[in-house]
Amino acid sequence: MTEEKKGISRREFLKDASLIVGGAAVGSTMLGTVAVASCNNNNNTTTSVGPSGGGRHSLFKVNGIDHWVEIEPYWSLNFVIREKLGLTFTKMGCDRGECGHCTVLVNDLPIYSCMMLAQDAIDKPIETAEILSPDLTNLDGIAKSFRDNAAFQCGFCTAGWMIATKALLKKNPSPNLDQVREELAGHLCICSGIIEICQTVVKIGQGG
Amino acid sequence: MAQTFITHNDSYNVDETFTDPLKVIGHVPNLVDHFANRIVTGNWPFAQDVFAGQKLFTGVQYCPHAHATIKSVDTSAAESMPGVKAVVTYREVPAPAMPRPTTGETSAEIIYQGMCVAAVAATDPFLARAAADAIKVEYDIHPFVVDMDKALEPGAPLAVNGSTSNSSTRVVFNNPSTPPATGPANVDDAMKTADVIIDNVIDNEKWFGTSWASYWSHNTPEPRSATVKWVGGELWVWSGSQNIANHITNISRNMGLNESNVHFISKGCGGAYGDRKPNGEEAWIAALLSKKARMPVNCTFTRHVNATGGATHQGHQKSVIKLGCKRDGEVAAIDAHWYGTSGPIHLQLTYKTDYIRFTSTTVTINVPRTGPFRTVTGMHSCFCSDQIFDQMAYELNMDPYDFRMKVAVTPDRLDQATNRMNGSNALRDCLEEVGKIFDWKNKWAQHKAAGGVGKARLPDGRLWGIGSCYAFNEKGNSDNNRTVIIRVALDGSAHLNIGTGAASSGTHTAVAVVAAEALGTTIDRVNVTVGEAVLAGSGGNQAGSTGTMSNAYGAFEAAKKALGRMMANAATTLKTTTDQLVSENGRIFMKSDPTQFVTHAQAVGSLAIIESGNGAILGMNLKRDYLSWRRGQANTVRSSVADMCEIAVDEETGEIEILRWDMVDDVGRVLFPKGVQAQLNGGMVMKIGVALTGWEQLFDPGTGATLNGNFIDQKNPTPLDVPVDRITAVAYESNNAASVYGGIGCGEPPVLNYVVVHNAFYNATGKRLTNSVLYPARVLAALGKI
Ligand code: FES
Ligand code: FES
Repeated sequence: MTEEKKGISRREFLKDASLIVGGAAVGSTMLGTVAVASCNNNNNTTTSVGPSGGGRHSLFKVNGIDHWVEIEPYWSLNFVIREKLGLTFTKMGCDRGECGHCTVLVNDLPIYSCMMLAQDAIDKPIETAEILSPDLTNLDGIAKSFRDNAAFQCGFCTAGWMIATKALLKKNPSPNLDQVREELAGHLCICSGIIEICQTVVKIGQGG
Repeated sequence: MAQTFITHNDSYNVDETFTDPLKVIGHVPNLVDHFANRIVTGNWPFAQDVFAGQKLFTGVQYCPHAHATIKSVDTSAAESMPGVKAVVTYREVPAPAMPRPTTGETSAEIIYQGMCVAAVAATDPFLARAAADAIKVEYDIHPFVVDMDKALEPGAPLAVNGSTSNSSTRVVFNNPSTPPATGPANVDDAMKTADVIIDNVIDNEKWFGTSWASYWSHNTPEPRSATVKWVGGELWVWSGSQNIANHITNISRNMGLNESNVHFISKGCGGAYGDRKPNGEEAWIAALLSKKARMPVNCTFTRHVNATGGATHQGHQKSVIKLGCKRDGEVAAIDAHWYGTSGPIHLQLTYKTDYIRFTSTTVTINVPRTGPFRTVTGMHSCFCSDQIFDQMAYELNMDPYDFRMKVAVTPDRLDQATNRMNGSNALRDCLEEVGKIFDWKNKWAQHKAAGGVGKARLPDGRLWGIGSCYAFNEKGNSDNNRTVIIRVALDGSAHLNIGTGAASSGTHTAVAVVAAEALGTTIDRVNVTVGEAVLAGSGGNQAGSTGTMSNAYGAFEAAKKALGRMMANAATTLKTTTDQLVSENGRIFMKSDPTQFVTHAQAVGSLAIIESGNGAILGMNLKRDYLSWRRGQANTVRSSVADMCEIAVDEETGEIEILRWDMVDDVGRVLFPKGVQAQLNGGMVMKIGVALTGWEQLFDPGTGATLNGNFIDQKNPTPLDVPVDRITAVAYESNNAASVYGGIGCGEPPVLNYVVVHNAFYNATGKRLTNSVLYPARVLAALGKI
């Protein structure tokens, strides 16, 4: 194989993806149009500088730690978090803004990390699910409540729900059931722990 | 939603082996920490999570046509793209989701859109996908058919070249097989004795006894994924699997390896629900790419490939049923014809009649392959058969509750397909219990008083309806061999290794609970490793709601063997015989004097104890000593479930609102309460997805392409779709099953009865919707609005 580097464009990265607005995953066609339209403003056919080709190092502030990472302009934040920082609590379920499994907090806002270019997250405070469970032998807070209330089954979606719960509780420390359903509507749990998850988040807000 | 269990001891069927007061079973409040902590946090290693930063990624080129023959594949452009390290084509990877060339041939037939044609390994997934897109494939495109009814029409395109027909029909059973001494001679004669018949011919105008169940993708949250690494001549695979032994066999055959040189680790299946049972071509693709590239490779199918060719699907089913009943509700005869891309079950288990004929037509169409879903195909079978019984109640002017009680199979009945005894009254019991929770009798009277079918309205003007449904579920499958290894360490703690994949977090705890109970120790002294077939020989199929039953049986047997050896050591130390000893709380003590004891650590002695047990599904609800069941035999266990639902129908928008949905499910004995409740609640949500939110795969009739291969257009419920506080799911402990400690699993029955919404819809509107998903547009069409 040749080592010639051409890369792929930001436009290609986003071409068949739909975008998240607020919490709810809705209306892929309309939102997909938004995603492509936004790319038209940045018609960037990148000649990328690869990681092994002496590219740039960028600062990613994740869970309070500074990481300098050499990135490609078309990489998603999800890819950088998982593959370059090794923070694999954040999952990748659809890579197209539909499931919420990849959720991280950027500036305290829940973001689908598969839908955000890594270069757009440079220098911004990022939190991943790892921050909820610094000690796996002794869980507390949101992770302990999810565990004790059996608000998970296969566990593939759970980190996404939990980190979004952190953002929700910061905004509204004691949400009622309908507020929880509304705010976490951008997440799927096919197993499905939705009943337990919603009840657990209400309970946490009530101090339980 | 309250967590309650209804316990009911059947006098006729309790297995006396397990009637001792239980110390651990049912008493463990939470999932056991050492695995639950890892799963809940995200630390649990799924296939994509291993070798972060050290692996290559895969892009897949899949066929856009529903029926074609590959003429040529040109990978040269892909090979020269940046970051590309290896390329393979279908000729090297003869996997099930890839076209299979006949030996020596270079062309192969595509039989559905989404079959993988070639794959690329590259340094990041974006490059890999771009390179896969650059592979040039030339096809001969053939006529195709993606509609089951059209496939049966004369002159329809053949779904597979060289075949003579798209379908084959057989009579599965026709009972009674010989004319009985008294009464009608056969189904046709019995049908003539009916006072009321619902038939697809004679009731054509009103409702024609036909139901169409939709096709859908498994939509697993974790996409199909495998990460592989070659170490010398040995292959290590990390991938979700519901049948690890089968995966190892397939990989080793295709790679020309000894099975003992394939190490397969399956920690989680990411909500597979049947999808990880078949062969796992993602591992084959990754293995070949990895061999060429000499690096670890991950192959993860994109969501679209996952929803089309890469994964399995629940197939279409269509039923055409003729049902005859006497005026008092007794069933005179059932004549059922099933059409499908996957087979039906259940009908003969639920209803009481001696006269039943069951004909099945399998139909091949150009849609992605089907595989078992949660309940195998039972949700659709239940949907396809139940509406006609519900309708019969109305035709007879009976309350559907009373009619269901009348026609439910009784404990003394033989299963019409297998001639095995049913042995349980749980079907009626579940209906009775859910009827109490729902307050059916009062609601039925209120509904009638408000005008009845098609007329009763809520104060806000919407149509109001209630519905009921029940079903028998047969759990088990043809492969229940599961090896469970136990090692009781020198400190007396126990570690079990199960070779099957884990579908949910409750599996570990349920097995740990059973082992702790059998050993006479506490739950914190038991650890369970799941999904490392490196150690445990065979895991069998994780399917058919058999995880708890079968794994727990292996754990039980292994623990009892280990305890036997510990008891013998303890008897020597305490200078007594083993029958004078009892094991509890990690100690073995004299029955007559509990102050005389040895700890489990002391009883183990100086060498760790290693034993194995073989999983078994004991089968049926018959009273029998557990040792008299033969391990390794195919077997099944029955359980029952009943649902009731109350809905509002908006005639302007076609929207259906769930006002209330209650379910009672027979789980045998509750081994781990929170795990059971989570399974029950999960089933309720899944039913909402199937009946209401649009979990249905749509095909373009012009191209055969999947139109909605994603999570949004083929939609699973989000929290906004789930009326969390209006759902009640209750476990019913029938305690009548010959299974380990009476636990018969709880994964399948909670999803069976989505048709209860359709029954409520009839009650509300007077219309039958014969498609499984109640989209607003379908509702409006049924109401004559559009
Ligand atoms: S992986 Fe990002 S939303 Fe699904
Ligand atoms: S726990 Fe499996 S998808 Fe949510």
